[in-house]
Amino acid sequence: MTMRTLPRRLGLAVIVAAIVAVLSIKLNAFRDYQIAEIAMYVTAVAGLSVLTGLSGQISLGHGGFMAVGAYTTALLLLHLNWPFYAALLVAAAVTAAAGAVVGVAAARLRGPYLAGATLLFGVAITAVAVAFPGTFGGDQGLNVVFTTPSFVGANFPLTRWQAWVSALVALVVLVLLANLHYSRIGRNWRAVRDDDVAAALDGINVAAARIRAFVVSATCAGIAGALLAIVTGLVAPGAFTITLSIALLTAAVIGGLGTLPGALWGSLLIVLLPVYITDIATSHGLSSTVGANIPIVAYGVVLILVMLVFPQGIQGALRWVINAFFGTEQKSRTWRAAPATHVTPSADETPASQHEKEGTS
Amino acid sequence: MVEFLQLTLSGIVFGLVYAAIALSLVLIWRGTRLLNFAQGGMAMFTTYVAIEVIYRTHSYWVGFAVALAAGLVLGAACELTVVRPTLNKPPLNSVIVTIGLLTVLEGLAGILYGGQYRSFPTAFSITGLRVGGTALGVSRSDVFVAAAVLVATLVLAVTFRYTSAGLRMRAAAFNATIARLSGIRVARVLTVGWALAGLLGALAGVLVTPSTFLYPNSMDIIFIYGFTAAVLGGLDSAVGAVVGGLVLGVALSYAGGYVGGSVGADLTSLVALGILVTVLMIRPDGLFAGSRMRRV
Amino acid sequence: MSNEALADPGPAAAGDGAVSLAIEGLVAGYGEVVALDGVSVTAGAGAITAVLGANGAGKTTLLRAVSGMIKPRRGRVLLGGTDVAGRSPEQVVRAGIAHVPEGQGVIPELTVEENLRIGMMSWRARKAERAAALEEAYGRFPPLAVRRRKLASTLSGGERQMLVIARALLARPKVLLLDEPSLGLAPRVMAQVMDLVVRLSREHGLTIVLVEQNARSALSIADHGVVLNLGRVVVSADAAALAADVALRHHYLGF
Repeated sequence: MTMRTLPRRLGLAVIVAAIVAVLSIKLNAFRDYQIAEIAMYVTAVAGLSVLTGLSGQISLGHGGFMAVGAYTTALLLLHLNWPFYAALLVAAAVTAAAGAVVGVAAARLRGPYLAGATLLFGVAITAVAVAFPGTFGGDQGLNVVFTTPSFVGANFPLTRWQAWVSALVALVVLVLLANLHYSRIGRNWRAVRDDDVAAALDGINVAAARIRAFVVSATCAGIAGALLAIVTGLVAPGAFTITLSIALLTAAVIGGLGTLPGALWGSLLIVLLPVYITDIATSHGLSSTVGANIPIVAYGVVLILVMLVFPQGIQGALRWVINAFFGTEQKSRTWRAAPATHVTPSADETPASQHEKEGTS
Repeated sequence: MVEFLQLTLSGIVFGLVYAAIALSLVLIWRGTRLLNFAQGGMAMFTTYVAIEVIYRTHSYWVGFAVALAAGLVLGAACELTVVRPTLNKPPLNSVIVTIGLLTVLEGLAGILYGGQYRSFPTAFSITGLRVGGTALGVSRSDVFVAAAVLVATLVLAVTFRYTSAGLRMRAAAFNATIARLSGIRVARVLTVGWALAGLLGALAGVLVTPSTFLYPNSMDIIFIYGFTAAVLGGLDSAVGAVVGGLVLGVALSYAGGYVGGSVGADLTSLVALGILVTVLMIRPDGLFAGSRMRRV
Repeated sequence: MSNEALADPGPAAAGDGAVSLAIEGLVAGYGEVVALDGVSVTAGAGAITAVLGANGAGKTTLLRAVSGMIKPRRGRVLLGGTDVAGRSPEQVVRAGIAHVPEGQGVIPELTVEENLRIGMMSWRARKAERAAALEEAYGRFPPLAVRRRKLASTLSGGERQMLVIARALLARPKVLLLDEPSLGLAPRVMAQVMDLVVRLSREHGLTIVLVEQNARSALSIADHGVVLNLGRVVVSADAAALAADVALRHHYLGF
């Protein structure tokens, strides 16, 4: 089922929204919180997935963009008492600007150099928050108060409202990303990812396309940061560590790089798996330290296994299964699960891959 | 003036630790064209092994030696099990795999050794040295750190330049196809490269941990700075790694010292970012990148 | 390369210990593309066999499949009776087949001497033996001796070709696979390379498989000629006869 047309996308979004609404009513407050968490991650991961999967640029610093969005939201809510949707829009705009700055700096960087610069960016942003405790609350951070609006009535649980708001925001972002994906902008990204020299020869402004991709993905992360502010109620540097940036990237990859459903699978994994495993561990009587670390080990093992066995991620695996069952020859030329690269000489059987490009003779 | 000297010297000491990590990254990069994000994690793990040995044997040097040996073994083991299968695939796969490896190592350390901060001993005294009446800002231990890294670097450089094994590694790194056609067992060479990188990382770990204390994430920031140093120098250049490390170490030392108070200390990462971005905007492949610019 | 003829290659070993290479029914390709579709070629012991054909015919793929750079899907490669098909390049060179690939065969970041040393890495030998072999190579190729400590990137095209062949010879092969050795060389230099190839065969009993675009010059030195087209052998004949068959030449070889 392809999402080529806008009506189809909106239809799917409405269905998902309805499902989420029903789930949040049926499930308890903790589950509502998890729904909100998942929605938040989906927003950030989808943006990152687009950046890395579609435009071929890796970022290890998206936690930093989330921090920008979160702190902007927190400051606006705290000091100016703005309503959330207004703060959200401003947070998105501010993070977009940050994304443009980073995008410009990163436009000429490739691979590991880009990874290094973005990694350091993520670390440096939180350092700024700590260095100016007057404005940003230092290590303790800023507390955010978020209440239900009056029109839902006095008995509407806060957690359910948080889940609904987050899910709504996430769905809007996903629909917009899907629109982009099928547009000329998305096609340009894929062209730049696959071969930027050829794309340039085709008249595509490569630098502009790459910066645009950064702006879009940073904005998504910023929006996710705004959600984090209202869902967790606390914006502090400890929430935006390297671990977060890495978790976002790995969620994008495990879910299926460049695919929007993949963002959902990856987010489900990073929210639900650790809790599940810790529960099992502690129910078997293991200490809390061990219990806290087992999901970490499990997470790493899953990462490694997915990469070795099924690098196209969960979405790729699903598509493979569907194709096998329904025999549809679905060419995923639009949803590339892994960026095309120049393969390096390997240590085993086929070192001649570079020569493959030159053709046989 | 005295402060300048102190900051410079201590900057050099830390800079050499970053250089050691940077060198290990360059070693792996040149051999396998991938960035080993687990390098810090591997160093952390071998340092834990060292501290356990030191507790049991009450000897720093035995622990030191075991750490280095463990580094060799861990490096080779990682290459053989986890990295080898990813070499034919897109580079992003190996990046993720090494991140997975990092996660596993940190989690394992937490399970085996617990999360609390531990102190790590030094072989030499940590009292500041004085020349005449002025405090130099570095101790005997610091001098040992610098010397150890310099000696290791020198030994590696000599090995690469003048031995058959070194020639094999260079040939395999420059052109694996030609190397294989000449009979060089490139696969074996790669494993050795990873083992050596593991050794360097282990060395950096035991040298720096007395300052950072030992906990599962203790090498994260050291790795980031080592990574920055490697990228600054250009990932293909061993000389670049050392220069990058020294430049970064000294610059961060000045930033921390001169910009005063906690603001300065917290902003070191911002300074590092500033340096990195400035250098990369002028030379996107690092300071010492040759004319052969490989696009990844 | 200097104008003078190459130095005396050393004591003759005509025919002694020469080994034939028999390729039988080789099928190989890249991904979905089948580049070799059941190719059988016999390179006689101590002879020069030219493999010719248009671009895309499968000539380079054939050499790669023999030397182990790509794994053949079917078929055998018999080196004097032993099947080496499917072995890795490191193993194939130890078995006695040296492949000089087309294009960049020299490692420009290493010195001339280092490039040569690499050629000996398939041996198990003592330092003295290696030193002697190196001196022998310098004796055979004086221009290399002059530049032994210089980076290989400073060599001219002809000198690089010499270096590459010298390195392959240092592996003490029984069979030499040459992929377009004259590519990009000036005509006079090309002639010297061809001259060298002839000496290696006549005076050292090396079995040589020569892939060449320049069919005319290849046939002028070869004993036997094989023409490939679209992954199949279309002609296998004595080189002189092949050169004389005008219709064939026009059709497949372009002259």
